[in-house]
Amino acid sequence: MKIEKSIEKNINIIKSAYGNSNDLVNRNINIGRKKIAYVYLESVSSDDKISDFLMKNISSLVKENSLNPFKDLFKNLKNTIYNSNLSTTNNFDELYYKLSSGFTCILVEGFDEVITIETRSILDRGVTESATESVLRGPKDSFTENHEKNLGLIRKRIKDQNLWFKDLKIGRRTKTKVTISYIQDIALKENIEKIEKDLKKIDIDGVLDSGYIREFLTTNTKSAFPQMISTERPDLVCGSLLEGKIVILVENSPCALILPGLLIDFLHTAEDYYQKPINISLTRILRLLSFVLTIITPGFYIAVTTWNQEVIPNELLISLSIQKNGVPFPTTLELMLMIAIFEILREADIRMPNTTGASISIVGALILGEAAVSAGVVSPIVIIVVAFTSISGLLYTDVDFINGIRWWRLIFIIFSTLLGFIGLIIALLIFIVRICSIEFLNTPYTVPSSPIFPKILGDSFIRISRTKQKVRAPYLTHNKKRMEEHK
Amino acid sequence: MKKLILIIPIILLFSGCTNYKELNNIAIVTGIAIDVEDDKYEVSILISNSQKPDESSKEGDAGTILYSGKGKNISMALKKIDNIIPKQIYLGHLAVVVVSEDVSKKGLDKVSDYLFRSPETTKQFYIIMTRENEKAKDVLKILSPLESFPSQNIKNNIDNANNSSAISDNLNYSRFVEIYLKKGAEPYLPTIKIYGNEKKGSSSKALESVDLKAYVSLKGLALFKGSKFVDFASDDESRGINVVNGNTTKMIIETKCGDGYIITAISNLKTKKKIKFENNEPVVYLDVSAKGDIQEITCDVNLNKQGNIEKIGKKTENKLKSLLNQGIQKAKDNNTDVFGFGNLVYKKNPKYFNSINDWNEKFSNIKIKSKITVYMKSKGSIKQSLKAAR
Repeated sequence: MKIEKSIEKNINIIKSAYGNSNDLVNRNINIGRKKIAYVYLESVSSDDKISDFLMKNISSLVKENSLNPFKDLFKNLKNTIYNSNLSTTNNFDELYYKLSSGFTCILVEGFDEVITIETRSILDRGVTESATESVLRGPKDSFTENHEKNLGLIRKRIKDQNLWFKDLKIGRRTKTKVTISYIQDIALKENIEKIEKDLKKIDIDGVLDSGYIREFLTTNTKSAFPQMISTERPDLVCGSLLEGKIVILVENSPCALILPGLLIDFLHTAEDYYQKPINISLTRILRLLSFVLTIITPGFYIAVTTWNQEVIPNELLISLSIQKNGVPFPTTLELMLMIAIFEILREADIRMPNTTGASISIVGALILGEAAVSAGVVSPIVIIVVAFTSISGLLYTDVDFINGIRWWRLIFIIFSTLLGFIGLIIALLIFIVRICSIEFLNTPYTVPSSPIFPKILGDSFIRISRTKQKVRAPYLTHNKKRMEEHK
Repeated sequence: MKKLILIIPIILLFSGCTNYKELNNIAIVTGIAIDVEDDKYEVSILISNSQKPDESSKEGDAGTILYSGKGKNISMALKKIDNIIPKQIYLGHLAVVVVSEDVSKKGLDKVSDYLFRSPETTKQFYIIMTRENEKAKDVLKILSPLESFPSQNIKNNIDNANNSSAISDNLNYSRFVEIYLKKGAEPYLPTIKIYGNEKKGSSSKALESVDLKAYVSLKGLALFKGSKFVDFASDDESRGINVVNGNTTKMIIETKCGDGYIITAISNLKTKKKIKFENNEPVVYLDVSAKGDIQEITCDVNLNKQGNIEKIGKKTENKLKSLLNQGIQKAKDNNTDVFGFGNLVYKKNPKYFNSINDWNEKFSNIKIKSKITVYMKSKGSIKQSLKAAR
């Protein structure tokens, strides 16, 4: 709808559109015979900036007898207020969008255009330390709910002019700003176009968090493992940008999405690049080992104690058999019961406020475990197995990844109960086939180990020193050289 | 998706739970003893996970108990035990099978089929024989203060014996059958003997006193012909047989000198056997090489003098040669080729081997030429014996 020429009509339309809301403020200024009105929403704009300035300087901004007060006002404002987002608009939809975003709109009597000035107030918590992803050494700042600040945290780390941001608005009612950022001569163009196309297709009421967008972007909804990394750390985001990955930032959400997320990325942390390579190689091998162990251990325990007892050494078997003597439940039931209890404890730990959190987890873990053993409900070895499994599962930072592991652990337990060792091997084959067949943005999930890229392997399961990593991954970019050869 | 819904119930219905055993439903058998008593075999199984009466069932060591059953063959005897035990017999961790002398005289082939055919056993258990009139099941009753249960005691004893005394051999069941099935080779078994008061040794009170009430000891080998027992070999003869067969890598050799002894510890013992045909007759060439360390000297010998160490080496070689000859003579006297020379002849010249009716007869007259070299490596930490240094 186009803006009318009469100020009164415009103001009435705006007021009724907002339901006569109390936070809509409207001031009229008279300069001789010219009428100027400005309107803003008190809740989202810092109200004293513009009203102060306009009230004080209105006479110098508009001359009494100017022929085109609108143009004069616009020109003078442009010359004096130079650090604000200043523009004009002539339809109501854009006006409503700008009002809700915290802009102040100035209407001039007799003209059907409106000047909009950005006067947004800062409604977030400021750049603080990340609560969920912590590192010992390295930058500790994290994204916040302020979209511009997030973009600033990226821009100040990569000062290349090739870092491009593309903006989209998603959500019919929330009209949330979504930014796709990438380094244009490294990232693959077809990936960017595909992501843009998918994002534009989204028809949804509102986008409140980056998690809403995830389901629209992935094609593989049945797989338990996530295909995107969601992180709060700007240094991780910038590292991925430099490799050729694409980052999506959503307004009002501190979690950025990095695409494509490969299996090997969930086994790395940002801190890996700040410590010595030879020590980090061992840590990475440890993480890989714990990934395998956390999925296989319960199933392996069931297979070995109920189907294939020949595998266990003599003394261990006898001591296990003595431990199990008073327990009435079959092994699978014991194991599932203890895993369920541990998962409940983990979930309760997250929801509990900090003041009571510590004692509840101690109570839960120690006393439940000890008491369960003494009461004869479970055998002691099951407590050890379940505790080991859960703790190795908590090694990773991405919550979706840990929850994906949970599903597979269950599948392994079921197959082991039915067929023993053979069942374990069958479940392992199914797992490998499922993982290797996930493909996102034309990159298989398990690259660089299959299909194998020998030059990138040095950065996957171990870390070789940075001077030897001369090429970027060919599955992410065509621009492969990282550094110039010495001439 | 529809295929998955069809496949999963099929898997569940067809696989069943045939081999699913909970740990508290199995009786873990670690030792079996086979005796014979007027035409019936008595099989005793040593179960290692019984409960100790006074400790809580969660921690603490397990108790051991021996169950017996009689039957005309092994399967029927084990069935009798099935009627007594509330748990399922699990043979997957069988460590030791003790056979009595009477059973071996009747023939081992009558008792060995069940254990070999059963898919549950590992075929890596040790097989051992008792001497004279001792019952095999009494051997499994002797408790040891160093190990948790008797079969573990015997098993570790056999494991370690290979490297220390060389009287015995750690023969496991699959090797026994391998030797039995070879053309031109006869099997042998290690033996075990109980010393002390076995009644006192089998109660747990025996473990409470410092004085050792009863113990089991490994003795020399028992020679077989086919599957029947023939004769026992004495300690020295067993050592000789073990050296020729290459079963041992370490030994100690004692030689006399004046009024004392020189003891050499031999290591890296290697035996090479070759068959050469001379005048259409096979001749066995043995080449034994070893390295020696002087372990103990109790006579007056000056080690610094030139040539004394070589003399000690020569004496050791002679003693080793005499041990070999004793062992070979014993085998020849009993007409059993426990060394496997017949197998070597068969491999070299099958026509010749097949033309002989009875290899054991031929073996008792075969010529054996042996060459022994002992290289003296070190003298230990001190240079001279005390007497010579004074």
